[in-house]
Amino acid sequence: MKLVIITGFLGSGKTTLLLALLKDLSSDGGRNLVVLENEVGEVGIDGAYLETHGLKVKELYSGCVCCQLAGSLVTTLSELREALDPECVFLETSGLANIQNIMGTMEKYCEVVGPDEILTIALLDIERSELIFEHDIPVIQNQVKMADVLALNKTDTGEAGEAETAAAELERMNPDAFVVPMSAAEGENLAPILDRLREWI
Amino acid sequence: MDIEDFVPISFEGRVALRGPGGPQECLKAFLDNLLGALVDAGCTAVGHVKGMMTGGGGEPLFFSITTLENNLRFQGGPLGDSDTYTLTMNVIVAGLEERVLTKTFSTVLRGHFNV
Ligand SMILES: Nc1nc2c(ncn2[C@@H]2O[C@H](COP(=O)(O)OP(=O)(O)OP(=O)(O)O)[C@@H](O)[C@H]2O)c(=O)[nH]1
Ligand SMILES: [Mg+2]
Repeated sequence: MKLVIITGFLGSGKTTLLLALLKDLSSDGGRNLVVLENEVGEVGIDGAYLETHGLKVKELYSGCVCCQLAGSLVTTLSELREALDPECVFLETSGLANIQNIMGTMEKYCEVVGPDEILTIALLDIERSELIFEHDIPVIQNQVKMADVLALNKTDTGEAGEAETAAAELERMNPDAFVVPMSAAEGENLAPILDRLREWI
Repeated sequence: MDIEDFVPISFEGRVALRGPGGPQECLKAFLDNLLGALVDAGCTAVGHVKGMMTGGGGEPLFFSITTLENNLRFQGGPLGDSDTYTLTMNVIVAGLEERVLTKTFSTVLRGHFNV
């Protein structure tokens, strides 16, 4: 079973991107895709939002799948495989998740998703680029280092040239990643990510 | 700055409109004041202030703020007409102790809604 991990700092646009990607992929017909939501807050809001758009969502909340809920993540993936046998699960991590811990958990304990079956998309919010480039927050730095796709989101809010400069800096920080400046809310430049997903799933 | 600086609080409950205007106007006024009060209390960064309001038989209204300058965005809606609505919120910000965050949130909320 394949797993797409959509990660990124709080409010970087994970749910917005997830919805846009799933709407597009679902239009292929015959796809069996499942969404797994993880929120730090005690109440789930993203699940309700996605459900108003007709998506079925499994929720893990009141903790983070990188620490308190690591066990629940592994169990839930096994249960999803057993019950629905999806071709791919899309996991939205909490905005505070440490991707390194999640990868560690998957590698050690998860039997239903192999190490080559994980694609990580990390969102970076250009509207708050200081969080990426100035504050040196370890969780965000890890996301940049470990992601397969770096989605530089909210390019509609930036000034001319800002996205290009930020994208070049991200390429320098992780030369192996596929860097895509885009706007999830405006649906701008999602095609490179969708192509990559279709190829990969 | 590190991830431990970000403190989460949640709220879920029935609220009644106090001011003039519909639910979305009241929410906007509440969120404007909330952001101002958080900054006054020493908040140094917004992680995510987000939530949803439901009720009146309309569509759920979602809202989200991610910057100290208050870049409020609404999605969904419109809510139906009603005296009371259900408000669900997650607030995650940096620079405040949980006690201060909870008190600030509660004070501003009660200034705009009967809870
Ligand atoms: N201007 C702009 N806003 C965006 C874009 N993508 C998302 N947003 C807005 O950013 C806010 C946060 O988006 P979400 O998708 O909820 O972010 P998230 O990463 O899922 O948030 P958490 O799950 O709380 O960490 C919402 O108000 C979105 O409408 C974009 O491309 N441009
Ligand atoms: Mg989300």
